[in-house]
Amino acid sequence: MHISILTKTFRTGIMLLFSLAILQPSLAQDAKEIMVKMNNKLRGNTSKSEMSLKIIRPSWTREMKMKSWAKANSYAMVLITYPAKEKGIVFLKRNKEIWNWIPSIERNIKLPPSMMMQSWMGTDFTNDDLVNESSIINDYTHKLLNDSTIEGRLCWKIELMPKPDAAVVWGKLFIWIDQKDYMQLRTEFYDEDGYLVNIMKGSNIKMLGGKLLPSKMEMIPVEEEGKKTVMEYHSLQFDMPLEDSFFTTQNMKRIR
Amino acid sequence: MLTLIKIAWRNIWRNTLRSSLVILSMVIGIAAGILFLGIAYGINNKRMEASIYSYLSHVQIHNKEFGERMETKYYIPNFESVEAQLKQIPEVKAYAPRYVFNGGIRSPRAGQGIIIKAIDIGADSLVSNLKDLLIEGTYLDKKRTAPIIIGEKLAKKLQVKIGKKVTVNYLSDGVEVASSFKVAGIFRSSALGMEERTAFMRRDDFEAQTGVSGQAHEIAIIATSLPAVNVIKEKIVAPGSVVESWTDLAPELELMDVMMDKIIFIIMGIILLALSFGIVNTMLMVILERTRELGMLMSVGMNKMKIFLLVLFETVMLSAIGGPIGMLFSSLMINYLHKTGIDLSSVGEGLKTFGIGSTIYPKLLEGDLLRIGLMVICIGILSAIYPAIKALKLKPAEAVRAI
Repeated sequence: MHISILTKTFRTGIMLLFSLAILQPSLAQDAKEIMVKMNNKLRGNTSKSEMSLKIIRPSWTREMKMKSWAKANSYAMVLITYPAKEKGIVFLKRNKEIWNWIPSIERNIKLPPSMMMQSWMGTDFTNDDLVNESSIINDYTHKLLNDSTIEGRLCWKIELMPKPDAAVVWGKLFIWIDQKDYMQLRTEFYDEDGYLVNIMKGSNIKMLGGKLLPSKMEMIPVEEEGKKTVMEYHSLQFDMPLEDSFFTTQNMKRIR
Repeated sequence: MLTLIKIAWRNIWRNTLRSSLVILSMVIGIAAGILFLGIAYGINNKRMEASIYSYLSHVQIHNKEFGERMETKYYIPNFESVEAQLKQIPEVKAYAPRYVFNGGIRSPRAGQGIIIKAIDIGADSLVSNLKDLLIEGTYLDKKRTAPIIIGEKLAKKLQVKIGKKVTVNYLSDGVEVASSFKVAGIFRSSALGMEERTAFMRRDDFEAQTGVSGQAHEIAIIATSLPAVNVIKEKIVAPGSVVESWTDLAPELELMDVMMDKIIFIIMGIILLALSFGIVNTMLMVILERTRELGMLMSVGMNKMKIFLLVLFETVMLSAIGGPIGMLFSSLMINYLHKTGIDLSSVGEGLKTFGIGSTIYPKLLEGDLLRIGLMVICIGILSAIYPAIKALKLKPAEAVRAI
């Protein structure tokens, strides 16, 4: 009698252990799936947007407005429309190359890879941030942590640890993703020593191009007081026809 | 003539104290000047060496197109045959092939565009002194995975320390390569922009990351001696490549060397000019003192030529005694210091930023002493002219009666 109860508990124990062992990878799988879904939501095959960019520094602020076009992961074009001084400047991304058309000197410059790491037009984003978005899926292992709420929305908190060989500077990332609409609402960037370096916040959620998205993104370098960059979408369109030939250096000079 | 010289010699020692003082000032002035030149030469030499061993090397070979664009596709054509030639040329002391390319480096807090040199650990330590420039950490070694060495200013900008992770990305033949590195060492260098914009990684890491092998963008060569540099430059046959010596790459360094040659004349000229005032002064005094005597000599029939020569001999002798003693003294000192070196480590911090180590080895070029000797004689003759004219203007009848 006693023995049978013992074996039973033992068995359940073993089973529990097993199921836990099975559960563990399936949870990790989930976290990655969430990331993929979130990432896919952001990009249609093509997209067109109008946005503004505000650079906030302790002693000054600066605002820029721009239009951008993108196709899949490989093509993107950005046209600056405000302020007047920079109006007409165009950035073109073709695969891994970035081109820069400057109308005032009528020159088209191919940005060397060395410039990709520098901050993009003086913001807290680097050129590399703009080019290299797929890395959050491929370069990290994802782990689902506890749920939490951000801006009154229930979110998954996901921990991203870089894979050993991945070309990633961060020690780890935390990403909060809305459980209903797969929106990235907050990202925390930590360095190797566990210090919080950057926070990216999404807010002002609204319908953009038929999708519910945070229209305002803030990048805050935590250690530097009074600094941040705010990016705001004014309109966003997905999946309209855009030829590959739109993304050419010739067309850079023509678009308005 | 011989009698005149004898008289002049005796005249000098009639007032031992005064003559000794003039000679002494000559000795000190010339010794100080030469010593200064020796040190300046030493510093210049050190600076040249620092540039050569930190980034220039004696001869560099690149693809013709490589130039400013530094695109990875511009490898040295026929690298193997060039390398084979280098092994044959006896004047080549050491050479090191490198991959050199533009890339971006990034830490959690900042990013920067840099020039990356992928170096062969063994060969490169023979042509460059990167090892000695390290202020923290260690040189690249075989065991570590993907080490990188960056400059102090870059480390400050990226806010990274030894052992921290950075990522580097670059285009290799149009393909983007991104990989992470650990900061193994931090170097300090005065070469313009080197600290902010240069990083060193292992050659085999580059090859592993890109699949390229047995190529190079740059070959750095160290010659057995400076004159051998041009011999090497002429011997290398590398169609499609440019072979440049350090004087082609950094003409300003050679300019400094040439300038030093001119500066010698200027500085010694100034010192000797100041000394010549002392001599003129002394000689004027001598004439004033000996007005009666000179008058008497003239009265008994000593002609003007002889009077002039007498004054001239006296003056030249003063400088001709002081000059060689000063030169001997200073060259002994320079020889000694050349062996021991002048340790300026108390101010070495400042010197290091000029690319100069803290110990300086003064030296002189062979022709310099001779030239300085000639200058001393010339100055002696020149400073004799005015007192001699004064002497010639004396009227015998009046001079004899002077007090």
